[in-house]
Amino acid sequence: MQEPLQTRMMDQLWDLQLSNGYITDEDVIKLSRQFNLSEIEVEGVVSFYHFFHRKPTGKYTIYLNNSIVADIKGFSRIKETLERESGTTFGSVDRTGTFGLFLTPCIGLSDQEPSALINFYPFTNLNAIKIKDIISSLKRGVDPETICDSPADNIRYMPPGNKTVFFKEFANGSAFARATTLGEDGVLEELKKAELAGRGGAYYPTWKKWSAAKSQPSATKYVVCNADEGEPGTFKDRVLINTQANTLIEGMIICGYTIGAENGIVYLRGEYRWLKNKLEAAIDEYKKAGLLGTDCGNIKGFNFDIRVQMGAGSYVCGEETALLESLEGKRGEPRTKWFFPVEKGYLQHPTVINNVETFCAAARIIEIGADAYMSQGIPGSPGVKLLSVSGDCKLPGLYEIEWGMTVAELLELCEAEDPYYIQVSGPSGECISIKEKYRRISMLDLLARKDIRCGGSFMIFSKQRFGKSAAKFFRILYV
Amino acid sequence: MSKLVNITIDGKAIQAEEGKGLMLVARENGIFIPSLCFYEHIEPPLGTCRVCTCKINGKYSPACTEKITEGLTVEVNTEELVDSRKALVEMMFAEGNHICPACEKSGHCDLQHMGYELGISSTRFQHLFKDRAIDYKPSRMVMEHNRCIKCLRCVVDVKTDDGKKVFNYQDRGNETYVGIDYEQEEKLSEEQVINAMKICPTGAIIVRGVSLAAPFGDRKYDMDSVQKDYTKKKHGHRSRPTMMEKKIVATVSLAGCFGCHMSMLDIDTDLLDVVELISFDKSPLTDFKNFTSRCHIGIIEGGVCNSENIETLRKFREHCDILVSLGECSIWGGLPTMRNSIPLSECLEEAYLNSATSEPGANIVPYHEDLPKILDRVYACSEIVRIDYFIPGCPPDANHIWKAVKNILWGEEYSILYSEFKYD
Ligand SMILES: Cc1cc2nc3c(=O)[nH]c(=O)nc-3n(C[C@H](O)[C@H](O)[C@H](O)COP(=O)(O)O)c2cc1C
Ligand code: SF4
Ligand code: SF4
Ligand code: FES
Repeated sequence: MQEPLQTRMMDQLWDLQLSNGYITDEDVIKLSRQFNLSEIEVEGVVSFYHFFHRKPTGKYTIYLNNSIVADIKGFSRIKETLERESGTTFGSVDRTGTFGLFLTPCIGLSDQEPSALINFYPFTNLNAIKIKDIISSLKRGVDPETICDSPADNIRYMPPGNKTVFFKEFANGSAFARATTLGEDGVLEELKKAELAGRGGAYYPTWKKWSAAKSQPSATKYVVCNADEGEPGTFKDRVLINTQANTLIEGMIICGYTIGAENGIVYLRGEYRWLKNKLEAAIDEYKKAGLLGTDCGNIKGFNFDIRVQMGAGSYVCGEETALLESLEGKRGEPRTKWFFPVEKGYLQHPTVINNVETFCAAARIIEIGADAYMSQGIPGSPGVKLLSVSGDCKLPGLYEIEWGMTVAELLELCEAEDPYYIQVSGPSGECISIKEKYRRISMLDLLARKDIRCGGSFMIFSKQRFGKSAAKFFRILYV
Repeated sequence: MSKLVNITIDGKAIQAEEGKGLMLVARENGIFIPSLCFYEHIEPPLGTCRVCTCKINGKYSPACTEKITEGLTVEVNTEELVDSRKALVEMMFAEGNHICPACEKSGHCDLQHMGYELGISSTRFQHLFKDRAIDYKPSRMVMEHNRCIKCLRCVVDVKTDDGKKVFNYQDRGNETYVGIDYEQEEKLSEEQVINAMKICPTGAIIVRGVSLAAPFGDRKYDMDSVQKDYTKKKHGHRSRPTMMEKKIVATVSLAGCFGCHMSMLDIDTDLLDVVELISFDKSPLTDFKNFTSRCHIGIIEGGVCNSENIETLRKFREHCDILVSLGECSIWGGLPTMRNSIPLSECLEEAYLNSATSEPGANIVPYHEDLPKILDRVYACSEIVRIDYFIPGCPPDANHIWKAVKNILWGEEYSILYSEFKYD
């Protein structure tokens, strides 16, 4: 189906933002004519997204992360150094128009803070000396792309005995091939058996969502991957896209096959623009292999394609209906829950939205079979989970744990330093004290079972953070 | 017609059409669920204001976005829900700059009306007094950003003939506001412009040259409540003592206009009964400058705008058993708070130096140690001393005032009529 024009407005706004550093009055007028919108509507979209500006942002636009983890890793010194070296203050552009400094919430690099994006290329583990080098190179006209870091994956732990589910070698097409032998209902059965539930944090059973979409009579359906990863302290989706783009793609293909969709879209957060090429390269590889496109995987009549849509800096766009609005080229504001996305989603067509990890897990479960998957974890919460660990520990990074691990075990693995409080699942999640360290991490109901139901992030804070003023600390955390 | 299913609203068993909106079903069954953004013809519903929040199947969710399903159980009027709805509307008043007596929409305004229905008489939240510019640029409309509650009605519903939006949200988070497109606004017909004003639940969209002014009694929300059995809370419990000692009353007007005092006198011949029951101590009515005795009740009109007001108010607290804030200015600052979003120095310069009638260089901003010092902003009386009761209105209705005062003094039973409880 032809998507309406406005759905591509974000792409154009990105092009304008990247080439000119901002979106001019003329651009707004031009876009409103082109997309047949009123100017106020275009203005509304531009002003909604953090990364779109209506004033110049400098030849080098620097977004420094000011999340709580950055804060404890020396954010304020980096901020000072950046201001001194670039000759401008945060929130503005220097007189020559070279450097624009901006603050931005968590950019998904909590395991290598302090970090920043310069023209959307990542710079990690910053310190004052590194900043001086970077700024002086940029002053000499060096392209930030050539000096940026390639963020480490920091996969610190996998279930021992080569029992990793997510990070095993993956042969492109293998899971999809098994899916086609299982058939559509067989796929749903496997997912149901494996008790796969949404890894975006809500833990809605994936098979239910897929089968609801499958039962919709509509001819046009969509598969959307939520790669907005906005929850502060989370970076599992970043690592998955960087290392397992193929499993992700395959999970989406299997979903498309199961529900009868022809189109997939990955909504990639603006902060991860540096991952776009890699993801698209993987998609191309799938196309070349005949696993995407017409009659994918030689299944007659199954046509499926995937494209990447960039977000542009907005935490709320991770909420599924806000994400749909954003995909449609609008302001990313949540819809009312009048319809579920599986009834009326993208462009009012039935749409399955799942998190990156959910799609990857689905592909793996189909690949290895539910039984093998269920050999790990605990009853009621089988399998494995990816955790993003950051804060006061020696080994921040990604942990693939079996469900049921206790907080104490995790703290030991990551060599936590005098842990005192742990913020689970970002500021809107739960803050647990070290006294609760024997609680288990699982997807069982938190209140009933005293387990911790976790979307994926573990931010560890040592006692020392609470020395002076716990209240102030929490204020930073929650605001 | 689709199939009928059974639901319960506040314990009442109701049969309703499956898939129909809960708001409509409640309304048809004479159940009042407060709402602001809900507008029957807009689908899907906007769900922006949350004033309609109920406990639905055990979960707090907005009623306006709920469809009827078999076995739906809705709680509307639990103590907690009533209070949190009220709090939501109070927050809207605290967030915007709502000065009803100076508002074109007063009497026709859904927000103000919801204030009456929910019986808001004071606010628990400090007013923000954000400085917002009014947009006079559109050729036929005025966007009064001080009054917009961001309900989204205009954004969704007001379109030009070729389907383009005229209003849209701008910015995000806390800074979100509703912008208007000047070019598209020009294209609207006269009728469409009027409709835009009508669809706005507040006075945020005003059409130039079209006045909403109508005498009291002729406005949309003057006389009747939408709740069948509206009697704003029955007050009073004690019975009146047979032998009544005269009560001593003090009154004062701080940063007010004496309108509330005029209203107090507006009960005509009933005034004779009143003076049988009470005597006035310090008050503009007696012109006593100082307290001559301890008083049972002190009635304060006006907010606090200068150092002398603070002193007077503190004296009242000292000498009176009970303090009552009378009228909007006393309750939260009222009309004088128009200056609160502007720095004091600018206000003074505008008044004394730059006004149309002042000659350049001829005037100064008055300053003398004997003159009371103007405060940085106008404060509510309750921000300075403890206030025991609030009687809202600008000015409050005369009957309303004396009913309330008598009740406070003797505990007589009374109820306020809907038409007496008005903010403007
Ligand atoms: C404010 C808010 C932010 C969210 N952010 C994300 C996010 O960044 N990534 C994500 O996958 N899900 C996020 N979600 C959850 C999504 O709405 C949705 O439940 C999820 O994408 C569904 O996929 P799943 O079933 O695979 O978890 C967010 C939800 C809310 C309310
Ligand atoms: S009448 Fe309505 S819009 Fe006008 S000031 Fe009062 S509450 Fe606000
Ligand atoms: S201008 Fe009026 S209709 Fe529009 S969002 Fe504001 S309050 Fe609602
Ligand atoms: S009336 Fe339901 S949210 Fe506004």
